[in-house]
Amino acid sequence: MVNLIFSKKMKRLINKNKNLKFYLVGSCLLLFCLRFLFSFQSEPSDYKPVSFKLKNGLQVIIVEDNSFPLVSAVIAYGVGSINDPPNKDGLAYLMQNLMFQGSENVGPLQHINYIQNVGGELNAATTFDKTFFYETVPSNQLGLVLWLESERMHFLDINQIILEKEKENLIRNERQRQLDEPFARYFFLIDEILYPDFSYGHSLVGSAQSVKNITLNDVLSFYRRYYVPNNAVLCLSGDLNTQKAKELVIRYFESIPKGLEPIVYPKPEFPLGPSGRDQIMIDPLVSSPAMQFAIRIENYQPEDILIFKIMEQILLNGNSSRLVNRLIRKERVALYLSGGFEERREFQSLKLFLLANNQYMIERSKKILIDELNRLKTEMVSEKEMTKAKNKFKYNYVKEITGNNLSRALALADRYLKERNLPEIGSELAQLERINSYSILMLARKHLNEENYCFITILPR
Amino acid sequence: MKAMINRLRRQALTTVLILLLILSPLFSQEKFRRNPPYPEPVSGLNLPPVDSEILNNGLKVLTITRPNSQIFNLQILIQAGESYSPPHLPGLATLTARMLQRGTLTLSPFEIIERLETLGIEYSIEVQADYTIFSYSFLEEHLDSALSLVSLFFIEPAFPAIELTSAKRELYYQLLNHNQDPEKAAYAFFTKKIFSGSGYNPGVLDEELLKNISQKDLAFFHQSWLRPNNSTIILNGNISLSNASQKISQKFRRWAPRALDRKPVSRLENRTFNQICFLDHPSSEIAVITGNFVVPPSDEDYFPLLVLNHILGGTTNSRLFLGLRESKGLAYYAFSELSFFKENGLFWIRAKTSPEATSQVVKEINELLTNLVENRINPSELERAKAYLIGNLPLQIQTPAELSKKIGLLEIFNLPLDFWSKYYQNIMLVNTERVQGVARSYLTKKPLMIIAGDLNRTLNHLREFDQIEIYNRKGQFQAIFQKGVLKYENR
Repeated sequence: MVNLIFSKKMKRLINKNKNLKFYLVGSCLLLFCLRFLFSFQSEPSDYKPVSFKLKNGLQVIIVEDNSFPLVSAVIAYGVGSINDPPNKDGLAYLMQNLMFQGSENVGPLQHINYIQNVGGELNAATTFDKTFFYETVPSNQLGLVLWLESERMHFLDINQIILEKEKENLIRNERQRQLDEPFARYFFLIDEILYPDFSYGHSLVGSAQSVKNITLNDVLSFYRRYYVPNNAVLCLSGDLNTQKAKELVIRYFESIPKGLEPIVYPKPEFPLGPSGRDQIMIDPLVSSPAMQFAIRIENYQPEDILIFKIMEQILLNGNSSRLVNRLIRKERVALYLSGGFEERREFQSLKLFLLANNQYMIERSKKILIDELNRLKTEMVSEKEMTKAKNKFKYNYVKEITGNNLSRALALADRYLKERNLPEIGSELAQLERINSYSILMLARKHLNEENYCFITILPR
Repeated sequence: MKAMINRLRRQALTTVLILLLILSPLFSQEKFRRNPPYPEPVSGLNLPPVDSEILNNGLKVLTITRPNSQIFNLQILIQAGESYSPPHLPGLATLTARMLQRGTLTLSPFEIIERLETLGIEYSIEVQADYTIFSYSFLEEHLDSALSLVSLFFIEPAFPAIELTSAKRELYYQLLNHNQDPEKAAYAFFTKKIFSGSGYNPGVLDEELLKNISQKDLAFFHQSWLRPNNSTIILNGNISLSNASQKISQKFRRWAPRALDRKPVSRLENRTFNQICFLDHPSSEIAVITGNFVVPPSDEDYFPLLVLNHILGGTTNSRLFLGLRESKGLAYYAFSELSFFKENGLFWIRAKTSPEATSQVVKEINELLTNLVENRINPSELERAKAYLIGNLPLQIQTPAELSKKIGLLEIFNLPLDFWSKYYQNIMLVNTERVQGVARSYLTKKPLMIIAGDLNRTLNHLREFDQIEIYNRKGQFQAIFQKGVLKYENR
């Protein structure tokens, strides 16, 4: 059964483990779009968002951009894996898939057909604390998108048969994924180590058992609690008239009743003491040695987030970045490297994944990694390197603001859900100018404590 | 009593009327929710102005002027790709392109990476059969520095030996990885097979032959084909043609033209292929690729072909996917595609299935093709396909790099600059007769069929085919499978 239809390019990705591709592609696109956008300045693009709130609490943000006759709509709900009840891991992700299974006036999977029939593209993604649904369509079809999104916000139609089928798909796809991508489970394992708390640390897709545990009642309660206008933001960006768009939004969304206020999960207290772990796992499914590294960071200031992003550019973005250059180009101990900073509410984490030829190379990589992190704490980053990091960041930032409607809408929706107020315009690039080598040194010294490093070495049998 | 009944009736009626009055907004709300809204009129696609000029060294400069853009995209389009690699050196065009950025006479490979990243340049290299595109995107403030840097790649590449070894290794592993997918392996084999004997090299790479490519070969290829008089520079951003030409002629003035020894490519006719080939591939899944020749985009059949392709297998809402996967559960997926080469086009179907369902998938594909040729297409299906094609075009050109490429492809396929502006109009002119006409022209003859998968697991399920040619993973002929019997032959 088709779960979701992808764009022309993405259709190539469709195969029997569709749910997984859906999740991975959606999540990757989303993370890529979000990583450079935390606020906007009007000066580079002159995009001026207009925002208003409906009586039922739905926040609406509208941005006009007439470059192409297109409009992107993002509806984001403040719900993610953090809201999964105990022993029901995977519910938020399952819910995302169920949102395509029809509503009172739209048949199962018809949402996809409606969008595709007009040449549009759509997708969805679930993260730790947010769920995004998004479409890009010809601008004359704005009404269609709003009708479809309001339908599933208000009238989702799920029954036992549909639920069992979706659960089956999810379990089968996850099983297949573990075979196709044997390293995938270590990405979840490192989270469990990093966040020793069910809500923060469990896997987004859940286990076969936890998915089986999910009942129709769980799904309906979850839907009624979190898929409500007062827990959502709707962002429209594209070739539209703000006033007309506002009228359409009111027509389709204002009569949807407000829901209960969603449950706010408290900040967890993680056990004190070093969380540093160095585990070796032997896995018959993997074909080459690999290493996962992570460190959890807390008690930082909001303005530090941008410094972490610049640190990430210096460390591992681009072929001339410190880790890529040393591990792959110069010393040739690693075959592949990926990673970056990730945010989970009040926590940041730096995560890295690398592949190497043998265990010795893994050990060498580990030493180089520690060495490079120490270097950040002991040496000032050169002016040239700072310029490079800032230029890369700035390019990506401007590209995502001006590049296309979808990335802009996703970023605005994400920022709104994070701060629960309208994204502040114009501070990010100015803040970038204030960051210097000293900012990097101080932040690295404060947060990159070696005793908190976590390593998982994965070796083939 | 009667009066009381009347009074009660009146009261009841009043109550009903009041209730209706109160509830009427709800009913009206339900009504508008019942069906999708009518769309607004379609907005036209207004592309930014495109201008061009040819410089003294033969380099064509093409500008796409977007005054409000902060981002520039620079594309260098070379009218040569893998089909220009000598038959014994497949991969030469790809390696030459990749090596341009791995050392020049004045810059080491590391200095190049350092400079590209310091300028925040996002870059990509795409090598196709007939063309190569180098794409660089950056902020407006870095335009001059980016042009200076990029010009060196084309004017004074050094092709250092150590970098060539490394580039070969990277490409080798990429090809190995690429061919692990039975569909990709099957498509490469399909293009090789369908063009065999035509004199045209579709540019299929062979990882085993990369080792034969030398620095001298790269230098020769660069000298022969990566010339200004074989190239177009597209500058997309806040710039006029005169300003762009001035900057480009200054930075690229040392790039010397050379006479090009281009061989003519002939148009290949749609024909009958009485050929089913099985490509042995260590995969638990089966990839089926089948197709035939069609015309290039400059032909009048192009737009009806686009519509036909969409109806048959353009998306998951098309006949192939719905028929093979959704209705019958025979395939994991099934789509159709159009690929274009110099003077030629291919219309092909790709499906992934299991060994057990392979024969049935082939049968169903043939039935769907016959159905398209013989039965009238439902007008609503036609209109849906046209709506998709018209609506989807702007989605394909949202970023500066995507737009530059779409404009650049007009050069490759000898299409007019207003091709995309007239796209809507040309799609709208397509009717069922035109679609059925192209279906009869291109889908009637028996197409070439490639089946790729594990031979041992699949052969038993292919007994109903008259004859199948068996090839090993390297594409070498091994045997004939005829009526359930495997016959080894020497060819």
